[in-house]
Amino acid sequence: MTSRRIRILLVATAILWPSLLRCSGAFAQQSKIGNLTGQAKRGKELYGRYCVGCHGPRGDGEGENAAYLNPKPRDFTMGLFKCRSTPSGSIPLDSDLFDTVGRGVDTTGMPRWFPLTPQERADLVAYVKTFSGRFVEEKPDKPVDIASETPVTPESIQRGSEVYQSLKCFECHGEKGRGDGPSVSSLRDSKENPIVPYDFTIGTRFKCGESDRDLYRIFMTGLDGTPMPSYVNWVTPAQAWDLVHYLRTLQADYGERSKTADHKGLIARR
Amino acid sequence: MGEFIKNRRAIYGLALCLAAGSCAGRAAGQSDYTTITVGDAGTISGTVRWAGPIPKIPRLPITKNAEVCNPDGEKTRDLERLVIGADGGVANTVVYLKNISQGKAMDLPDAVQHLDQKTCRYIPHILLVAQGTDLQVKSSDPVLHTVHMAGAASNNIPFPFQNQYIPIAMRRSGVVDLKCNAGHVWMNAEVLVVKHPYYAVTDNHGFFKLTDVPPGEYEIEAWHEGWRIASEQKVLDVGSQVEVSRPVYSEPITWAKKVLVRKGQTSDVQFSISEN
Repeated sequence: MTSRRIRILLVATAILWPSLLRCSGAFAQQSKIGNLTGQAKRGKELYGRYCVGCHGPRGDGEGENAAYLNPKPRDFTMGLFKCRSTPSGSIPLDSDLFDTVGRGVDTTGMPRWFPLTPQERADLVAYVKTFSGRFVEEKPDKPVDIASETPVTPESIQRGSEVYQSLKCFECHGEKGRGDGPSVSSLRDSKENPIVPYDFTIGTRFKCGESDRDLYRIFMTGLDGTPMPSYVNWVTPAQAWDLVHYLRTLQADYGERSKTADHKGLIARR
Repeated sequence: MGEFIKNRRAIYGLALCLAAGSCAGRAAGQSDYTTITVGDAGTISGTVRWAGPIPKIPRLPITKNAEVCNPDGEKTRDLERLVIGADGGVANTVVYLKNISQGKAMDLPDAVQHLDQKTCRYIPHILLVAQGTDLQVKSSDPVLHTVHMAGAASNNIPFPFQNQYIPIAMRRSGVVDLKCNAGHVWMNAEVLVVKHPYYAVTDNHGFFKLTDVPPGEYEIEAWHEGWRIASEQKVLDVGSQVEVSRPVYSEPITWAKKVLVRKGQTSDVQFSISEN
C-alpha cells in the first residue's frame, strides 16, 4: 500500500468515525426505565459476567451454553423480542426489556435476574440494545392498550372458549391448550429452530408474565421471533378478557375448583 | 499490516457505504428521492427471458387442509419460485431503476399492494409497497393462516377470519420474506418496500414497463427472488417427535444494465437470465 493510499484511508476513517461507531452499535446507548438511566458501558461488564455464557460475546445467541438449550438463547442482533408492550413488528420499550430481565422467560433457560439491582438491569438493557441497529434507526410504536378487566363469570369463560375456537388458537395450542395442535410439527422460530407452542396445562406462569394483564398483552402483541402472531386486529377488548378468563381454566391448578361457581375468587387469588 | 492491505477493498467498501449515509442492510440501493413534475419524459420497456435448460424445481406435498389448499386434487404445490412462460418470459422478476433521485410521485398499482391468501397460496407472489404506506392483507380461505414477516419487517399477523383486509405498515425499505406458520410450509412470497415508483413486476411473458421516466442515463436492475432450494431443514420436532422439513430458499439474484432515456421515446431493455 502506498503512503498516499494510507493517508487517504486515515482521512476517510477520521471523517467517517462517528458513522462507524453508530453503525457498529458501539455508539454509547442508554436505557430509560422510570427514573433509572442505564448505561451501556456498565451494562457491558455485567453482560460479560452474567449473560455471555448463553447469549454469546457478539449477542447472537451463540454462547457456549447455547448448544444445550432449547429453545435457543435470544439473538439480540436480530432486534426481535418476544415480550413487548408494543405491537407486532415494533421494537420493544426499554421497560419491556427491563421486565424480561427481572422476570425471566418461563419454560426457557432464561432465569429471573432478581439478584441484580434495578440499576444493573437497566444498564444491561442499555447494552443489549447496542447489538441491533434497530434501536438506533427506529422508535418503538405506542404500546397496545389494555382495557379494564371485565368480571370473571361462567358466561365470560364460555364466550372465551368460543373466541379460542373462532380465532383457531387450537391450530397450535391444541383443543385442550396442551400445545399439541395440528400445526405443531411445522413451527419454527425466526432462526429456523423448531419451537413448541405454550402448554397451558403445565403451570401458572407464561413466557411474558403471569398476571391476567400479561396474558391479555401476550396474545394482543404476539411474541416476535416466534410463530405466535398478534391478535389485536381480531378481538374487541371484551372478547380479549373473555379469552383470558377461558385460558385460565386450562391451567394446571384450575382443576376441581372450576366445577364450583367460585371462578372469580380463584382467579383473584392468582 | 499484511492483513490490513489484503482487506483494503473491504475497508474502502465500508467507507463508501458509510459515506452514502447508510450501512443497515438497505436493499435495492437507493438514497433519498424527490418528487417533481415530470414533463418531457420517456419510457423503458422490455422483457426478462430465460436462457438455457429450465431447472427442475421440486414441488412440496400438500400436507394440511387439503380440502381448502388442494381444490384440484394435485397433491403437491408449485413453490412459484421460478415461473417461465411458453415464450421463455420469466414472470415475477422486479425491474427497477437503481440510481434515480427525482421523478414522478408514487403510483404503484393497487394489485401489487394487496395480498390475498387463497387456496393456501399468496396472491400475488411478488408485492411492491411504498415505504411508509400499508400492505393490505386478507385471507379468502376458511382455515387459519398467519403472515409471518422476516427481513425489513417483522410483523406476525394471523388471519382466522375470511375476507377482511388488515393493513400492515411498511416502515423500512428492503425485502420482506413471508411465510405461514399454520402448517402450510409451501406458502412463500416476497414484498419489496421501495422508496420510489420506478419499479415493475414482470408479467407471464416476462414483460415490464416503466413510464414517466425523466430523460437521462440510468442503471436498471432486474431482481429475482432466487429459485433454488438452498437446503431443507430436516429436524426432529421436539413436540411431536416427527421429522419435518421446511425449504430454505437461495438468495435473491440481480442483473444490472445501463439504459439511456430520451424525451418522448421508448428505450428497450432485454434481460436474459439463466441457471449460471
